[in-house]
Amino acid sequence: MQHAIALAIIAATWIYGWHVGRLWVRGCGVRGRAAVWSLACIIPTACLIAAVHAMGFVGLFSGRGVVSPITVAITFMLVCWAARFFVATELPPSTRMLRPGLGPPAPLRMGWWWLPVIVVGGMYLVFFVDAATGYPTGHDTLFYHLPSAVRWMQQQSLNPLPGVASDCIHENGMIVPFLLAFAKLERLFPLVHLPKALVVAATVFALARFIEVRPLSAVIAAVIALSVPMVVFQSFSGYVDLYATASWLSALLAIAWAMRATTARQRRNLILLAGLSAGVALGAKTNFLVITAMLAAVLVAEMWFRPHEGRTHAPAPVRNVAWFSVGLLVCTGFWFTRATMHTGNPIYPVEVTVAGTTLLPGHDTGARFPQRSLGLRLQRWWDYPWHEAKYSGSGENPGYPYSRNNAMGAAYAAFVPLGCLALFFGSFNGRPRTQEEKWQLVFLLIAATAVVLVPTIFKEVLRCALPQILLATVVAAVLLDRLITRFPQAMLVTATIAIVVTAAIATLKPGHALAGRIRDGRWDRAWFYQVPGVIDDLPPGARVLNLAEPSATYSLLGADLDNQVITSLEWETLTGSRGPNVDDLHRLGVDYIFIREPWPTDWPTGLPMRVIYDDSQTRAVATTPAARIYRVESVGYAGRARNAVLTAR
Amino acid sequence: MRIAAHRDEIWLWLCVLSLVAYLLRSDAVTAFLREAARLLRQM
Repeated sequence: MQHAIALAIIAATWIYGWHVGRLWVRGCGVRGRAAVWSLACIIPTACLIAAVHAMGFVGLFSGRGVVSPITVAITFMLVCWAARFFVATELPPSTRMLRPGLGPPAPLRMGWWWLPVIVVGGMYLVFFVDAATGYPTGHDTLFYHLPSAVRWMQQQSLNPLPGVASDCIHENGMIVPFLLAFAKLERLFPLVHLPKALVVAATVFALARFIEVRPLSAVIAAVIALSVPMVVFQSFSGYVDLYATASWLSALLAIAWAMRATTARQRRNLILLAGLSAGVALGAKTNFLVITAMLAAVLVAEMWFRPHEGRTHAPAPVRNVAWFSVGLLVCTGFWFTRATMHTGNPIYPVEVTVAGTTLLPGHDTGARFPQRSLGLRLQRWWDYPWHEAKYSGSGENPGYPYSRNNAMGAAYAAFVPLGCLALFFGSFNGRPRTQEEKWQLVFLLIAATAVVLVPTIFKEVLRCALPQILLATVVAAVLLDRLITRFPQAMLVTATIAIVVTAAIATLKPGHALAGRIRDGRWDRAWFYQVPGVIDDLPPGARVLNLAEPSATYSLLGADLDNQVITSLEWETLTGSRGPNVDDLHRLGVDYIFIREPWPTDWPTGLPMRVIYDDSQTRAVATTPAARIYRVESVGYAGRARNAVLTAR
Repeated sequence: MRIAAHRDEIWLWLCVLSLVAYLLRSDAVTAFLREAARLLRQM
């Protein structure tokens, strides 16, 4: 109950923080409902993360668990009040004047264009019902994202597992699930990233409006962005690419407005805001190092955006980057510090090697992926939007390609690549002149980096380039604008068909899963994950070694999220062996071992354990491998403090 | 000159062709049709 009240306070403070953010961005001269709405979200999001990080620092240096919803709620309120004080002193009401030269917003007449909007809304509704009646899904979500959040809850700190370097990745995207876990609100986990889809839609709309696209075309660009399968699937999953992408796009929007700011103070505060938002993104996923660097490059180019006219302050590229970095570190400093303390590498798991010498130790990410020649990689990707084969970094998996990792959808394939080409070949006549044309070119160049990054640095993992993929919809809005103006009916028919095709294909998976649950009448957690129901009934604090598939980790935490799960990867790191042995089972206090078929044949004999569950003969779903649970004897959760932190030798 | 005058018509047709190419080539469409047919047969 105490946790639920604290979470309610956090939610109320978030709304207050959003109000502060609105004052902030309006004080900086930002106009347009979508831009204000999107940018206002940065303040409460960054303040909440800063509050949790502040508590995390205490835990990191003291070794004590001090993070709980109530301490976070108090810190969050203090940080939001500090932001309110900052707005009151830095951006007093007198500065919050309307920007001169901006007339009333252009009217938005949707008419039949509501059709594709409704179709996309229906698609999200099916996903919403499926997610709200189910449990978290997705390999990475279940393997390490959510298990990390639950372990933080159990130990009340953000400290990684001692001795397990793989636990030191950036996880801003798991802070809300971490807080929800205290109140056991597991059913909300699949929905926590849905608001980010709304932020993406608002930001794509605002960016399109920023480059003078008419409101209707900007709406259609936002609808196309929402229709991208990777976006809709990640809206209802614990994958963090969409979370980070929404923040990155907001940062770009803040920078774009900063370049239009009329005073140096407004520009600085918008750049600070951009830094905070980019920090949220970088603190969620390390590969945003590359993409965040592009934002810094845009900041340096201030002189190019406004060489002469309308400038009341001198360009200050170095100062721009400095303010941006300050904001960036607020939301990433904790992860850098934590990773440095535990692995000696602030950007773990990214390994930095120069001339054969490892400067920053990490994982050679390339080693996990198949080695293909550049020619083969380009051959696989050059026409990807149209063929959408199910690629992933680790290999080809024939089958249904729409997922969190793959696919862009029919509407994207129909309009976006051509929109980018049209802008490249037609719009600038060789050289951009107006501010809008310059921003179009910048957006195009950033979007085009995906073509280089996906086959190379991103190791063919498409979702790593989600920011560029969505920014391309903004670029395509320029062509959409022209075509919708000249051929409204033809465009309406084409766009609607494309969106309907995407929605039909995308909803097949969740619709099928939902129909299956309705048919079976089974809504319980154990059935959903196809794990034994006994897992949910283990005594609180029971320590389970998962030697089955890695994605079973989350399900083994139990319905009350009270079990402690050691993954096979952690086991291997902590013990140096793959299978169980008596000494390590005792040392690490393992109470249960969970495995699936095929049963291991290389375990040593005489292990102190007995089978307490085996469904080889009784399992209901024949396609799921049989499961077995061993109870390890002579080692007891009863003799260990509840939720005691797992430690290495 | 004539092409420039019809530039937007050309882009519109390219968009339509792009959608047709997607419908014909995408693995997603193939997988959807296969799966939908399988489900219909089961019903």
